[in-house]
Formats: sequence, C-alpha cells, structure tokens
Amino acid sequence: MSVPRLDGIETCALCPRLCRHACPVAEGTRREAAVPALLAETLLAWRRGRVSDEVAREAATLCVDCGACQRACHLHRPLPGLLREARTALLPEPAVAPLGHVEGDGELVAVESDERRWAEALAARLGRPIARLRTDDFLGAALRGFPGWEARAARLRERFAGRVAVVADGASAGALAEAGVQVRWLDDLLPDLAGGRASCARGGEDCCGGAWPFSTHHPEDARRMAGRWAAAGTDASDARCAGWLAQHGLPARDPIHRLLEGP
Amino acid sequence: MAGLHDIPSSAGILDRRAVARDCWPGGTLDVWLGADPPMPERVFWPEDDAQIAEVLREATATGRAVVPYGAGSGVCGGARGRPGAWVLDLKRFDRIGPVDPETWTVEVEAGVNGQRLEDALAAAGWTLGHSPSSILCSTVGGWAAARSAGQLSSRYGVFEDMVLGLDAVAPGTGPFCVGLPGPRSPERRAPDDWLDLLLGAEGTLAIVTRVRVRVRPLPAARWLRGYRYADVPTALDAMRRLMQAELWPSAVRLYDPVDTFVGGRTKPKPEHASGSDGTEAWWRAWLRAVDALPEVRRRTLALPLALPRVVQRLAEGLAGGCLLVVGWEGEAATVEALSRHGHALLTEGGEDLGAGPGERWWASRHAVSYKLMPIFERGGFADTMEIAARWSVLPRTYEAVRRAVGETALVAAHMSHVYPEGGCIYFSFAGRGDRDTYDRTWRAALDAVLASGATVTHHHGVGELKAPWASREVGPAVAGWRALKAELDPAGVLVPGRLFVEVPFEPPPDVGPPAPRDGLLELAPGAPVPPEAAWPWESLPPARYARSPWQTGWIEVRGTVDGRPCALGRGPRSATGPDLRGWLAAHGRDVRVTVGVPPEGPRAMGRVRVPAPWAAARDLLRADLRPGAVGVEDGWLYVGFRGPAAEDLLRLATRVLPGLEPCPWRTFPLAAGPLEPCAPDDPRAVAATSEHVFRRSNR
Repeated sequence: MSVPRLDGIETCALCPRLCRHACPVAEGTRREAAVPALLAETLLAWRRGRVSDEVAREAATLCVDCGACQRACHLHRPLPGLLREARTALLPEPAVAPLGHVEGDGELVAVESDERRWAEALAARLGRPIARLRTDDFLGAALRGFPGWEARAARLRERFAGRVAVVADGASAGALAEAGVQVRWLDDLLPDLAGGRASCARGGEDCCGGAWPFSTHHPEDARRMAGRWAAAGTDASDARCAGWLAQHGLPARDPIHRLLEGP
Repeated sequence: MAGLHDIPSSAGILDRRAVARDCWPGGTLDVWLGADPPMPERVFWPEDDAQIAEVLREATATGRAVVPYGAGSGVCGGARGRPGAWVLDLKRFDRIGPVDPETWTVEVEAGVNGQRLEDALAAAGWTLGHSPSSILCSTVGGWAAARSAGQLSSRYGVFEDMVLGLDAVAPGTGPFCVGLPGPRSPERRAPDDWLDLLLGAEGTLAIVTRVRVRVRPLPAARWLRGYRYADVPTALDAMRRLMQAELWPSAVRLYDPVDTFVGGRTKPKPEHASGSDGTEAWWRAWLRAVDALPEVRRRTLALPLALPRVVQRLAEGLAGGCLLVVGWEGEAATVEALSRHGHALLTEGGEDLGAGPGERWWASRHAVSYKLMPIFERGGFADTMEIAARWSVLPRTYEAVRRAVGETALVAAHMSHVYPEGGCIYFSFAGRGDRDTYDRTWRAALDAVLASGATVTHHHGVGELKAPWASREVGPAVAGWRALKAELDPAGVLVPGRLFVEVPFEPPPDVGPPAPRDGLLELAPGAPVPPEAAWPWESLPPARYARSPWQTGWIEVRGTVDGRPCALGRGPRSATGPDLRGWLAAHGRDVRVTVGVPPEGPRAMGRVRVPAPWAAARDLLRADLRPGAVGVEDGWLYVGFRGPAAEDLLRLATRVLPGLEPCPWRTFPLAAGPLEPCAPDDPRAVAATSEHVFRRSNR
C-alpha cells in the first residue's frame, strides 16, 4: 500500500491534544484513541512504518469527518482533510448505488434519503412545486475522497443544474456541498420545523455515531454514542441521526417528522 | 460482584498506544525522534467504584502495575504508559452533579474534562474558577492527582483549596471517602487528614473517582490591565505589595524581559488568530516563510539552539522592560474598589499600558501549548518548569535557573500564581532536540532550584521527570507518604517508580530565616499562633473544607524525622507531591512552623448584632468580600478588612450587613477544629466559609 504524504500531520501528532473536548467521537466514546491529535500520532507512526495498515485503518476510521477539531484548533490545522487522505489510502473504494433522477418540477429538489416521502408535504407548505430525488445511500457520500468521487460529483452537479437541493440529513448535505451544489436545510427553509440537537454534520459537537465509515468500522462505539445521544433526548435536527437512532431501537424525531405531521 | 471480564477493556494496539504517552515533552521528544512509547498491556474503562476495586484486586494478586489515566495532559510523565501495566482510563467517570444552591458545591467525577465542567457550570450561572491553561485537555481527576493550579488562583485558590471532599478506591481498603461526603460516597470514611495526602499523590495511594468542590456565581465584572516595569526585581516587589495589601486580584502574571519581548505581549490583542493583521512577531513571520521548504524547516532552529548563550544575550539586549498583567473579577463594586487601589499601587513604580495587554492575555490564555510543537518540528525541544519560593528567595532562584539552563537552552520566564508569602516562577526553555541536551538541561535546572531553596514543582506535579528531585526535597518526610502507602497499597501496584523514589539523604539548604518582606513569622517549637498572624488559628489549622482558600494554615514546616532534618513548604504552596506539612507537624521532632503575617497598614473593622452571626458571615463571604478578621462575641459579629482598600470594603460590607457599626480593630482566634457543617442558625456555630457554617465536632 502506498502511504500518503499527510503533509503537516506532525503538528497535530505533537500537539497536547487541545482538540479533545471538541471531538464528538472522543467525547462520545470516551476513548482516548479517538482524540484527533492521537489519530494524527498514529498516522505519523504509520507513515514512518511503525504501525501496521490495520492499526492505521482503525485510527483513520475513528472519525466522523465533522471538522470540529479544525474549528477548535487555534492553528486551524487541516486534520480532517489529512484523515480523509489516509482513509482513501487505507479503505477500498466503497460501492455506491447509481444516482437516481430528479422527479418532478420545481427549482427546489427534496433529497429523500430514507423511506419517507416529504416532497409533497414541502410543496404544500411552500405553495410551490417541489421536485424530489430519492437516494438509498446518501447520494454516494461515502465516495468523497476516493477516485470515483469526481465522477459522482459531476453527476450531482448535472442532476441539480440550476436547482437548489433541500436536505434533511448531513451526509447528503456534505456530498452536495462538496460537489458544489447549492444546498438548503429543510429546517432553515421552514424554521418552525427546527428543533433537536445539532449533529456532527451541522457544526454541532454532538454525534449519534451513524456517520460512515465510523459506524461500519467501530460498531460498538457507534452504538454507544447512539445510547449517549438518546440518554440526553431523542430530538434530532438531522434525519441521518434519527434513522441511526431508530436502527438501535431509540426512536427519534427530526424535521421530516414534524413536516409530515403538519401543524 | 463484577468480574474482570465484565469490565470494558481493550488490549488493542491503538488503545494501548493512545495511553502510552502523556504530554511530557520528554516523551514527545522520544516519539518525535522515532522511539515507540512505553506500551501498557491493557486499558480498562471502569464505570463504577466496584469495577476499579476489581481491577486493583486482580492487579494486586498478579503483581501488575496500575497507572490511572484521565486525559494525559500531565507534563512530567506521571500518566505515561509503563510496559506490562494496566491502565485505568477514568473517562467513563463522567458525571457532573447538580450544583447545590444551598451549599454552593457540586460533585464531579474524575474523568470529566475541565472545559466541559466549566461549560456545564456556566450554563447554570456558576464557575469553579479553576482555569489552568490545560483546561481544554485535562480532567478533574488529573487536577486532583497533580494539585493543579489555575490562572485565576489568586482569587479562587488552587485546586486543593476547592476540594471539600473526595471519593477514592485503594487496593488495600476498597472504596472510601474523605472530607465532606457526597450523595454517592462509599460508606467507609477516612480521617480528614488523608485529604491533604491524597491530593497530589498522583495516583500512588488511591484512584480518586469523584470530588466535591466549591463553586461561585459567574463573575459580574472583570478588569484587566498591563503595566511595564524596568526589571524583574522591581516588578516582583510590586506583586508582593499587591498581595500583601490583601487586594486579592484574580490574575497576576509577570513576564520577564525575554518573554515580554519574544511574546510581543505588550502589543494590543490581535484581531486574527493567524497573526496576519500586522501584529505578527518578526520571527513568526520568518518561520512561516521557511515552512514552504520542508528540508530547511526541519533544521530552522538547529543553529540558534546550538548557541543558546549567544541568542539569549541577543534577546536580552533587544528586550526592554517586563510586562505585568493584573486582573480582578467578581462583584462589580468589589472589583471597582480593589482594582482602584491596586492600580494606584502598581503605577507607583510601573507604567500603565492600558487594558490591551490584559485582554490579549485573556484571549489566548488557553492557547499557550500550541507554541511548543513548531519547535520540535524545527529540530528543537521545548519544555516548561514551574517552581515556587518565598519572596526573598525568588530573585535568587530566577537567576540561578537562568544561569544553569542557559548552558544548553534558551530560557524565558513568567511569574504567576502569587501569594502574600511568595510566588511561582514558570520557566520556558528551548534547546537542541536531542535527548542528551534535554536531560542535561533538566538536571541543571532542578539542581539549581533545590540549591536555591525553592520547591521543585508548583502545579505540574512530579511524575517520572521530577521524582528524584522531589524525593530529595521531601527528604525523610516521605515517611508520611510511605505510611499511608503501606495501608492503601501494600503491594505497591499503584504507579510504581513515580512521584517518590529512593535517593540518598541530603539536608535541606540553609536559606536562613524569613526576610521581613516575606510576610512570614517563624514560631518557636510548640508555640501557639500569635494574634498578629494573618490567620490566628487556635492550634493546627482545620481541614481545608472548613476554611476559605485564602486562609492559609502554615507556610513552611521544618523538623526532623529519624534524626534527619527536612523542610517542607519551601514555596508558599507545598506542591511537591502530597501536602506532607501536616504529617511533619504531627510526627516530626523539633518542629518549627512559619505562618503568614500581614504588614502594618490601614485596618477597618465593624460589628453588628444579628440573630445568626455565622450565617451572616457566610453571606458576607458569598457577597465576594474577604474579611481579614472575623469573629463572634456576645452575639456580635465582628468583621475587619486590612490594607489600602479596608475602608471601602467595610463600606461595601454594610450592604450585606445593614447596621454594621465601626469599632476598633481586634483579632479573633479562628476555630481550628475538628469542625463539621451545621445548620446556618445553629447556636453552636463557630466558623463559616462560603459553603457552610461549622460547629465543633467530636470526630
């Protein structure tokens, strides 16, 4: 395996872990290994050939790519990008479903990422046509950073050309934003739907544990984080979190629930 | 009972690596130079006292070393890994109890992150007031282990001043509590005097699981200002007078000329953290420029760090004066009165630089550690050393350490954590990044500290790094720690080889009796505390939970153990491991104690007749006023203030105690105890703190 350059990871590896309080995984799992600066130290050791690919993979996937460590860092070190770089080298490119087509008319496109269909309800609330795009894998967000991403990003731009995506989950939002598609969160569009704790994907420091690849590679930690989230309340502002909590028998409400239930 | 296999744990490489290294720069240097950190065998994440007890039981049975771990922010190697050891990671002890509005206390578990605690308290309108620069990356348990001190210690006290009680688990006893118990405390209650021995023991005696701490309402006002002084001795004298005037600033930080110059600290607060607003230091801009050349970057500091004396002289030549940052916070009227008198005192010999330097410090007060990594990356090492001494010794220690360290490293210093009796010097040094230079620098520095008569640590703890020097300093009084160790950890599984180690005996240096400016009075063996003492205790001072943070007991305690002399409390705070002063006073021979004495100066006293005088005294303390004298006689509550602000403070006291009438100054013996909390209106009450009213106890 070719080890990436990971330029600048030394600074994070030597840092006295001042990002620990900001990281939702470190805080949520209470695992020292999840502290971003220590992930950097492990990856530095990997680059130097002192730990195996397996250990490096375990470290690089202890991250939900929320960017909190970079925001908290006084030096603004781009550690999230370096971890992404490492993941791209350490993980096989994930298989993603073909991208669906936008159905219906309207400048706004509801990105429906679970079984709930909410484009009509949104259209009724706004009094204007709303198109929809269904996805079972958050628009292939897991491809971000991998070679296949550029093609997926191009397709996303093509699908949403001239339109604005309306999202309710952080994974789709992240993919669209990175592809350069204009994005509005559902509860920004309709503030009365807002509520619940902000997820790791929305600039909050909470995390339900559902983000990929963390949830796949660290299922026990991810379950633990779901439990911690639910213990503090089951109201979420992100549909991915609500879905993840529901998978663990912790039913949560999100803006789509509120939209579909009506006033 | 939980079995070992029921306790969450990991033997995975990733988890073991994560706890193999704390933030000791020596360990960081090793890793940077390519060495593997010392790998423990397994990490446990216990969730309750019983699980800790089980791990300790099994470790004792198998003779396996145990190292407790919080956030690994220690800088002396106290929490670093140990090959073959079990690590107890306490981060699942993460509960923050509700603040008790009746007693102004909260129970917090050991694994709680400092910033998380402060955020939770602030959301409810409270603060612990403990603000170490490591607050983002340290835990409450670590603060207890190493007797942490925060940047606002002059106002809120150091960490052991805040702890009213704690729970712990030891191999020899299982779970127990000491000091004031909490709602989830184990039934077994240990003697009060264990509190001083467990705090600062760095996990060598027991695993601290939760603490009960004082809290205060968030401050309503904050005042910060900078002053320039010509040299360190002049500035130190201003700091001394400020503290002995009982003006109780929240922050007092003096940067020596090199630190002032290199840090660009007298400039206004930068608007952008990146430093791209024109206020960036020239050397930082230069380093930024070479960052684009990785091969050059790795050697940027090789030449200057190979010639420390030359560079040091250059820096000293360019430096001009030193900066003192002073701050007050609390109730607005109190802050106004204290800062007004403090400003007058500080401008007698210092140039007022306005609010800018203070605001600059406040904005970056938790960011100091970010400066260390670039030095390692560029071929050097950087480290810090905090020591303490009485006022008359501080200048000597400052010069001795600079001379000793200057052989191998560049050195700058700031002085913070000041007390009426003395203060702490915090040296920062940088040298060529090889292990030999690193070790030589530390050896020279700590030898110089001990020889000068100072204490080798103030708030970073001892760990592995300072263990030989801490052991030399504590000398035969280590018997106090050993006696408790034999009871709590008879097999010696807790953190072996750290804190105290076997060293040849050496008598303490003869630093002579206290100088008048030290504000200290040495008592003859067995003599009572005289009324002119700052805090005239009836006898030995009571447990910390029964006195306010600024009410010191003794400063230095000297005596002999097994015929060998020892001296504890060489700084105003005896922080070299556990506080063994009480043990030495009780078990030593020829014991001589020094206590604080206030200088001559203004005094103002008033008295008022109230139904529950000690409850009224507690209200006064809660109103952010710190009387220098307090007592109750014939139903009258007497409160007095010392120093230039005395009249103003007495006037403010009338807001809390209407009817307070001026009366001649007098002092009162303070109840020494044993004491126990009682109802505020208990007629048997004899003392008060912000949290409790106390009566005498039969315990």
